[in-house]
Amino acid sequence: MISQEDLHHISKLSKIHLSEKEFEIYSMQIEKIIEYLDKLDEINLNESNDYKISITKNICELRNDVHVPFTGNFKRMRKNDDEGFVKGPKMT
Amino acid sequence: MTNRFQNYSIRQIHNGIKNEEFTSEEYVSYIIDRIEKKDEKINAFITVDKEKALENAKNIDKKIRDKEKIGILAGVVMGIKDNISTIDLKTTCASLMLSDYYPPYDATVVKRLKENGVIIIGKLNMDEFGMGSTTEYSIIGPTKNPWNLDYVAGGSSGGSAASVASGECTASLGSDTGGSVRCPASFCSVVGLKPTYGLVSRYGLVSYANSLEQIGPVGRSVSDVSTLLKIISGYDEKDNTTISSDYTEYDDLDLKETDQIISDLNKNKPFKIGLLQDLTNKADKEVSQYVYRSIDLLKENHLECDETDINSTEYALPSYYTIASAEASSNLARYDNIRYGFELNPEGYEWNSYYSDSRSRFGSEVKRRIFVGTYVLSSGYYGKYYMKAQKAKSMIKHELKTLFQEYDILVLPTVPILPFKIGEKIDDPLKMYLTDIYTVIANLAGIPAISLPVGFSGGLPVGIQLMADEFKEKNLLAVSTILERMVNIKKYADVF
Amino acid sequence: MSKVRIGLEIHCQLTQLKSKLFCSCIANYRNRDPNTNICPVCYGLPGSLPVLNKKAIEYACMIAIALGCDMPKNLTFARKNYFYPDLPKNFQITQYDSPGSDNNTCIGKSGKLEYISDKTVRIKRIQLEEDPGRLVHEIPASQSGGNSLAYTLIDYNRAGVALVEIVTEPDFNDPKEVRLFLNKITSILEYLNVCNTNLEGSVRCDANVSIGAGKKVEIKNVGSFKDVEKALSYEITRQKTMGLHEIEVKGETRHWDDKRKITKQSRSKEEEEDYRYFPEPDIPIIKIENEFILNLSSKMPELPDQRRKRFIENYQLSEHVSEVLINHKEIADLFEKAVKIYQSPKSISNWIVSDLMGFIDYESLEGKPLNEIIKIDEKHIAELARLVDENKINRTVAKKILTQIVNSGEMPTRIIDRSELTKIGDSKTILEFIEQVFMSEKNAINDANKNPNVANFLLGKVMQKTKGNIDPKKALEIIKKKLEEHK
Ligand SMILES: [Zn+2]
Repeated sequence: MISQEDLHHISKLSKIHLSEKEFEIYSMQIEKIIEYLDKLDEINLNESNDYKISITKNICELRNDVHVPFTGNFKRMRKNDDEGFVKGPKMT
Repeated sequence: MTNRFQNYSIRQIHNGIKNEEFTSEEYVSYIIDRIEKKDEKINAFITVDKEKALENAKNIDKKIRDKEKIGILAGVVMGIKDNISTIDLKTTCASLMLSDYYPPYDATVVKRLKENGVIIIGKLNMDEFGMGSTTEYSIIGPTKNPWNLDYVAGGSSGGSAASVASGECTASLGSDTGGSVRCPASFCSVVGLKPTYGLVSRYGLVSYANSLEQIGPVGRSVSDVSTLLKIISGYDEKDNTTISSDYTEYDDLDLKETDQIISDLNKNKPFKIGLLQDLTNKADKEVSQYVYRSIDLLKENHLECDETDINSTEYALPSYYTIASAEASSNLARYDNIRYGFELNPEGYEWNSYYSDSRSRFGSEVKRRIFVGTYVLSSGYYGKYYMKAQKAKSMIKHELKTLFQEYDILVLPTVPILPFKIGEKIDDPLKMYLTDIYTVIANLAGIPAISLPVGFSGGLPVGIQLMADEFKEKNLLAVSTILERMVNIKKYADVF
Repeated sequence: MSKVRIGLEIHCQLTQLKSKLFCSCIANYRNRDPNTNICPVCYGLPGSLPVLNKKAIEYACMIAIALGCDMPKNLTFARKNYFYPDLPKNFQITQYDSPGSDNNTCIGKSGKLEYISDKTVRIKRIQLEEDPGRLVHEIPASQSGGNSLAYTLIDYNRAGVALVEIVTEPDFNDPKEVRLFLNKITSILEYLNVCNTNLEGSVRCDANVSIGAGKKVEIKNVGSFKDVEKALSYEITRQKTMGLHEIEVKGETRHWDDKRKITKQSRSKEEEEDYRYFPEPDIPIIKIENEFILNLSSKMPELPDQRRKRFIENYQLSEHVSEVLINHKEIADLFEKAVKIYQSPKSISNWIVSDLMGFIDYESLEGKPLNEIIKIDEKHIAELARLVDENKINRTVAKKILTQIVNSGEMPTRIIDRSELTKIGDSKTILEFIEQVFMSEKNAINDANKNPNVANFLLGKVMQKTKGNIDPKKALEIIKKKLEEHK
């Protein structure tokens, strides 16, 4: 079950504003999706019928500590430029 | 009206240009003409870069005239899914959030293709950020199925499959998170491969669900797909999850006789194919009958086949959507429009409202997955969803690993249903998710899987899916080659 | 009185790396034009992937070894999800062991450090993570001229720099202990040569305070180590006062207001507590083999405690002098190099501890090496100590010379040769002084035939009279000549 509070919380956490109407639609849809995911609850975490699923590497395979300058051009993609600084919204 | 270029393979194009039977410029002009005629209806391209493509073609032709060396893919014209970064070529992910984004770098796969002479003609339509199974969730609208324009092309790499099927490019790249290459390949009657996790660099692929996805080639033949795989695969220092491996033999499969391929497969021990019976039987009859027919064809070719099942698949889809949504919710957090994005001046905005103002412009499916992902990771629910989804993932991998001790290849439908009409499932997200039920297995297990066209039902394509153990792409492509020769299906849609 | 419990979270940048933690941009982001030290990875561009720096793991492991931590078998990274404009990806790649799991996947766990004799603090956890960018400053509405115009300027040059977080158990009872501990940590980082702690912002500290059974209050945003003690004292007083008035202390996060020197309540946001940690899918699990740890341990530089012991044993220095010397690695290095030139540890240490140290203001070093601030090295110190020991100059003159060396970097003998100090006139003036001494020290002069040391004794007297301001060589010559005449 996903409560109104839950949806408010996740909308805030994900910084996506929902209008009242959207709120209604999404809460219905997400409720259904979450219900479907609840199937996972049957799984017993302690059973040992699993297999290593992550890639493992040794330290020696990692990147050496050297400086390589990035040569591409950021200009075309940059928004909100202010003399080299990125202009962001006010924080207070 | 037929054109001599229309069904050319990578090898034919390369040899033709090299032997000066035709010029690279002629071929590119043909492709541009084709796109101009077809794409209004198909809607496979988000961006077409004619000038650059022609310029590159002329360069190749000049090299030929000057007797300079050309790349092994020189003259091949490819479209790239619009979530794979291309330097100075708009990469939008079919999203408003990136509608004006020009990457300052090439994805590793793009770099490798270019180094080998591939001409990139444009960027292909998709579901926004790869989230969807039909290519309906795109800012430029849905890509249509080239075999019937009322039907979906599949997704999320709908543009990648439709463009290849309709001859708007030689081949293409898609990305496959839960079936996004294989589903549209199946719906559009082309070949689509999802490689082993870690075989192909993801550097430059805009992340949707990092632990599941791989870039994969789409082509009109198994041979084209294997040639491309050879070029794009292999260790990349820019992607810590790539694995150094050496699988270089598969690209010459199309030169071998079928008998030779089969005897190669049987060389060390009897090669065995397993039909996933339960999953096949649960699919629509139009689909399952083709799977059975394919098995019969393989048997005719003296390959051992019998039936088997996977038990843990009931958890596959919930596990997939939990992991994919969780990772997506975090990956897509960066789209706040501060560092790049669309025009929205932050002056005067309080930061929270700036964020939610920009981020409210994600499409509906993306928002749903961000919400679901945020929910399953939020405090109190992590153990209930994310941890169990990971457990399911490892259980599935375990079961498949065990099966691959006995079988070399597993066979099942790519999608349990035929292509459906545009708009049919768009209002019911859960119904839409079920489209992926047979494809997510390979993503969860990290194994390679391919979709091959095997027939038509009521004018709509049907695909079959083959899966192999990790890094056994060679076996997968060998069996695919045999099957391809047996079914001899049309992969070039010239219906409209 | 209820017991005060203080715990710390120290963030230190691995400034000695050449590149950032997950990309090949320069680790030293300081003094660059804004947003010029960035690449797709640290700027959070779509499609970029973190590529882990091998050396960063080595450095972080060295810190963990120095602090006696348990090391992991498998190292993993996690994402901490929260929105903030200085975070290019709106999540931070860090390390995280889910509560209750006894699996250690952080750089280090369960260490301890004796920071002064008999005082030990337990180290809870050491982890490796990326630094965010910097919000440079806000352009207020009034300044920008408009009614509603206001924005922040952001510089991402720092984003992605490797940061090691050291988390202690709440084992401190007093802000003074905290300061001593921080000094010790600083010194260890310097000895390991992983962090130049003099660089502004290279070491930052958050603290948490609770009194008795009261709730824990986090204090963030403390700009310098100096202020940590102040912030803690302020916070303890605040909580105690609340206790006296029977007001319950809330479990909250407070920010240190650098200007007003008080802690202020931060607007509590529910998002702050829900970071939605999950394993970073783009970084594989890193296997830490025993061999790697053993190899690293064997290559570890000498740590402050080991060096202090060695100084006491090898150079017969006092506990106090050794402590002062080893506290800053550069000073201890200077001492040892000088001793190699002139084998008198006592006088060299004396010169360094009681005179040279007075010239160094560690606050204003700003990360520059010592020899850029004061132009002195081991050769100067060794020569100065020898000249004094050999009575060539007296301490007062030597101190004046030291001031000159600090500014000019000239060798002491050259200063002496050139200086007005030693040139109280010509031989004639010197002769006048010597004659005065000969007048008053008649007994000594009469002993001169039997006692060969009389010449030196007389020189001492002359030097005393002239406050050392003559050339002792020249004076001795004249004294010897005059004694000859006396015979
Ligand atoms: Zn960078």
